[in-house]
Amino acid sequence: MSYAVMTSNSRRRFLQTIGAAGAVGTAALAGCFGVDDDEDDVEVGDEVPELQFVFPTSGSNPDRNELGGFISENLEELGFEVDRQELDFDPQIQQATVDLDFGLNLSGWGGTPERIDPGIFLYDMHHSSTTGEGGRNGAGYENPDYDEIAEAIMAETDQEARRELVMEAQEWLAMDQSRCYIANEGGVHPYNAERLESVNPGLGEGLNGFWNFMEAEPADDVDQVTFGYSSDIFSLNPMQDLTTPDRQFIRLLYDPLYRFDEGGIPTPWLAVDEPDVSDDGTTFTVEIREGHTFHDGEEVTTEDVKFSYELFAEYSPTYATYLSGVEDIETDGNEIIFQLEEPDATFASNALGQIYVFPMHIWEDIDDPVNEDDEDYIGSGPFQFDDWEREVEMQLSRFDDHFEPPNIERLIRVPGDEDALVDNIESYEIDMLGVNPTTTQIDRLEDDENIGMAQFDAVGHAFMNYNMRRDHYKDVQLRRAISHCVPKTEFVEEIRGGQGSVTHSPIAPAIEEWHNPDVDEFDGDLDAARETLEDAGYVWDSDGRIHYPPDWDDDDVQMFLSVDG
Amino acid sequence: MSHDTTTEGTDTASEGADTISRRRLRWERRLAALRNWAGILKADRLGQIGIAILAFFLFVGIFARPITVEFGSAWFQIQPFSLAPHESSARVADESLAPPSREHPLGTTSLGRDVYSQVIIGTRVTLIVGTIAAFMAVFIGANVGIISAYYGGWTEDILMRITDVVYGVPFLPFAIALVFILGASLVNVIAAIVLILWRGTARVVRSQVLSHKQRPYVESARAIGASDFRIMYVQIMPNVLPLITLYAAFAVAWAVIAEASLSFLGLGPPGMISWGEIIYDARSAGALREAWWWVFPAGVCIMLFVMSVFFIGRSLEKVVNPDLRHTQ
Amino acid sequence: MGLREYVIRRVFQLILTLWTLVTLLFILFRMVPGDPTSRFVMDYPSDAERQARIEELGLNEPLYIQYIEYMGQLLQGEFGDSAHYRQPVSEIIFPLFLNTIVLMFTALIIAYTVGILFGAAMGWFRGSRFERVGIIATLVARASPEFWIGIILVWIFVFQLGLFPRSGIGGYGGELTMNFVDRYINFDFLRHLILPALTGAIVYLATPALLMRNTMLEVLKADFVEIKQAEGLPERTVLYKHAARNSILPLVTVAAIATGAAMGGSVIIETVFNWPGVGREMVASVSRNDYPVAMAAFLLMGTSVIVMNFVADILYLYLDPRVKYE
Repeated sequence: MSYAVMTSNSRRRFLQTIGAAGAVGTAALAGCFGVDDDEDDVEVGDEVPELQFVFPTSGSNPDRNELGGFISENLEELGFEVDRQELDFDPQIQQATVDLDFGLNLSGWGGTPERIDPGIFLYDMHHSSTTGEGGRNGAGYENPDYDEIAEAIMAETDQEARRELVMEAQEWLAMDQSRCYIANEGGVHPYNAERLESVNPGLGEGLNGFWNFMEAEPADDVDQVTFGYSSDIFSLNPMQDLTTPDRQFIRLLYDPLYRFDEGGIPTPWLAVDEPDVSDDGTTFTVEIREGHTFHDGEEVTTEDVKFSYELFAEYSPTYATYLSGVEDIETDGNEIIFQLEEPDATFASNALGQIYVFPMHIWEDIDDPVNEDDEDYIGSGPFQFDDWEREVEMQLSRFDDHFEPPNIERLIRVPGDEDALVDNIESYEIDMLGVNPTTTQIDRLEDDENIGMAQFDAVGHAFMNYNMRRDHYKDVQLRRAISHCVPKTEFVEEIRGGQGSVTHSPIAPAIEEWHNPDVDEFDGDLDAARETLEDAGYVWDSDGRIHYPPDWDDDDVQMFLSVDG
Repeated sequence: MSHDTTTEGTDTASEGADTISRRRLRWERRLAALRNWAGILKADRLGQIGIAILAFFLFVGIFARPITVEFGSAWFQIQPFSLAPHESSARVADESLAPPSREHPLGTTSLGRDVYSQVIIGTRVTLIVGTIAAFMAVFIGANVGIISAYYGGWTEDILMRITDVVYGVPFLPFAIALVFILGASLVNVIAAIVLILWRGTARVVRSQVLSHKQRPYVESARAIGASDFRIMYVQIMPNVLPLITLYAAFAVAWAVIAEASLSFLGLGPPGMISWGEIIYDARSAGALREAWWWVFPAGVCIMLFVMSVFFIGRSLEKVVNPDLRHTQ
Repeated sequence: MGLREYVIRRVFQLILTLWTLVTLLFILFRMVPGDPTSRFVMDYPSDAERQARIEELGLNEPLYIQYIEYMGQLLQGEFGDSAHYRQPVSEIIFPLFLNTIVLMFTALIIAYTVGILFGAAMGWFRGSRFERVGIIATLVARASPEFWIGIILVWIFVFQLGLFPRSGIGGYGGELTMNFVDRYINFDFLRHLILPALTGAIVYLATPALLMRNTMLEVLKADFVEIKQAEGLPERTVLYKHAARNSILPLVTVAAIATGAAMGGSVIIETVFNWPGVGREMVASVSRNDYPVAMAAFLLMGTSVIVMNFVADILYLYLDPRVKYE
């Protein structure tokens, strides 16, 4: 056996991987033993601490799990120590979002038409007020100058001025890299093209979109359409905590005053026309249509509307905030008047577009709306509730008396494992699927003439948060360097088989009005990463491990690039 | 059920002999059981096959990838060979999800990984978990059995009640809950298995020891003032050893299936590929329908490994229960 | 001590075991990091709302108080309300439990019927090639993990032959009834039942098969066979009678234990076949921190196991006159 000395880096990696009970090794070597050579030791300070990297298990999100692996490899090659923690969906939320116990957190944010307003992406997720436990500013980004911009975005009513602020905000975020935006995971949902002549996938939601259920056209002889999704509905009661599928079906059973159209603009639904806003912006008057009834035949009146808004304001954990500025609600015949304390530009989209009208004659008798609900789920929406067995199926049917009845006569919602659901589509047992198949499955499905693939863009995105509450992540150059280690194109092209698109900004390219394409870009460039680190003063020891220089001072660290220009 | 009782007479007779030959006799006794088993194996074709398969897996496991130990700044490769041509997570293939070919005898995964390498490397987790979990479980179980049977009274009551409770805990749900609480890691998976698996050995060893407790050789050992510890572990234990070994064999089988099940559910040790995890990956990728080369081999390996352990177990059963000797 | 005292003593032990199990589970699940509100954390407008919800669920009271409340509830036969579904747990669990029982029972019935016949045949044809192959086949079945067998069956019968549905308990759009006969006695359900039940059956049949074979061999060796033959009775009748009598005891006890074990082992089959049962629900609720549901699911499975073990003990006593009641 020959004596050989490996290069520092490859040996480091080799030994690292050997450490784990010898279960994984690197490529076979020619040599069999060796000694470290300590010559030419560069002057080094402390080691840069281990990076605690939280990302999903392959069962909960295979694509992001792979990406996590790639990122880790890149980081290790650069000389970092990475502590990989693969977690399932709920534990990841608990640990990273609630406990804030992470260094790097690879996660994602879903997108729905209601979440198109840039305020959500720019304010909610990066303003310093939401850095607490469970808050949306998971990175802990606290930049007072940025806060000003974000606040201005929320208050500004002039579209042009607002747009400029939105562009600037994106520039800043890209410079500061408190969160590395990776990709918009657009997708494709399969459906049975024999039984469904057309479908209407929605932005960010695909076949889960409201307009799909309304407009999907079954073939002539098809009166029952089955729709599969990867989890069952928890609750159809907005007074309780709601998951995404819950919301998607509540909006089928109940009507709001305005609905988001496919472009994300609230348009009149139960309302007859746009709301009449007073000059000072504090009074909103809405006229509702006449003659519309609930599923049980009772007429929908403004009394019901007023009752519903008050019900939501009092009990609903998610929707109550939208109504916090409402001082008073009055009804006058077919008109309902909302009196706000202060002008609120978002009232139309947040409140009027999302609060559902509930039948007063049923709900006024319910003592505890949070824990009890109407088991028949009587609403006035385009679909009415028939029956439901948990984990088995939910049955809805068309409400023929609706002013805009859907094309589907009977809708069956089937929860199940993604693996089994895709098999069901392939064997034509299910008509539509609201989940993305894997790349392997997509390849198979595309070959089947009877199966259509509904493409859609995403509004949400995959991202990686840096925990800026920890000292070593406070250095903006370190964050930028790590961002250089994220192979975004590889993620989209190879891991996701081309589904989706790379992004460097929280606002998706699909939202043309608000998206800024000219921001700093980071995409799997290890040389750029190394350069960034070198310029910032980091040094490597003879093992290839990255260190601070001996004269490093934590107080001198630059946290933001944006403010100092 | 009759067991190896030929040893007792020897012990009583050796009373008067000096220490050295008594010790030698004890060793003789233990070796006798081993020789017994060897003899049985000569006639037991299935047992031979079992040992052959197991030896094969052991070989594969050891030589799957190089093993290196580090002393300070020096490193030494104690096992330089690598049966697996690639790292389990290396994306090496030109074509992903490809059926077996010359380059990739078991094809590739949906991300272009070599299935053949994964299956070879996966042997290690099976061996590690199988042996460690089984032996720990049997160690605990045997001790619980001996101690409770020997001391009786409150000790026995408490230990047996605990055993009863553990018997009432359904294995897989418990392991799942434990892994959720403690997180998925090699240690936790082994712990989850051990915490349940010991119960079988405990009961069986206890009933064995109970029957031995009354025998003359134990009473005479007591009479000459031997300590409890001596009696339990030096006198009784060796007689129970064949039974314990038998249960150890079955414990290995159950531990391997348990680990495979947990890995299949995605709860296996992360970072280490195991056979159950290979199937889990195939399922997560939605490749069950078409990539038989990805799914099939790992399952066959699990089946072969456990089967070989069963075969060995059956031959051990004949040591313990001579009546079975003449059956096939 | 007589039979009655023994049974009473065993019942008492049963209760003690159950109580210990409940306590163990209680502590175990409270140790899972997080709580039922965790997955909604980003939807709460502020932490105050989330804390209010946690308080409403009674989760910020000291552990021993929660425990006492839970035990009190349990003794009244109440499992509490699900933290996520906001419905009584019993309403949610009951249909799932029923699904699991139907599945497992079918699997066991097939396993024991086939297993006993197969085992007897192996014993009868001792020394033959059939027997040798039979033993290997039995051990192969026993050595294969449940998910593996499930996947193979799906591959053959669903993907390749297209004979059976892939998952679930029935076609879609039918009437959702809780009436036992309407639910389970129909062709559609049976089509969905076959593969998962077969999966379980293949794994479970090894024990009765080997047991029956051993009994057969013992009986064949026994002397009285020749005596009876001398009396003019055909060998087969003698064998059947004695084989049956000798095998009842071990078979029944093993069956009882297997029933209990099957309850716990249903998780895998339910996962592979997307069967809406209590095993799968248990995994899901543990991952979501829905304690009441997780506890109830686990309790149901654990209690089944314990009760069936108890039944096995009692049956053993009852059937085996040689055993002393110690």
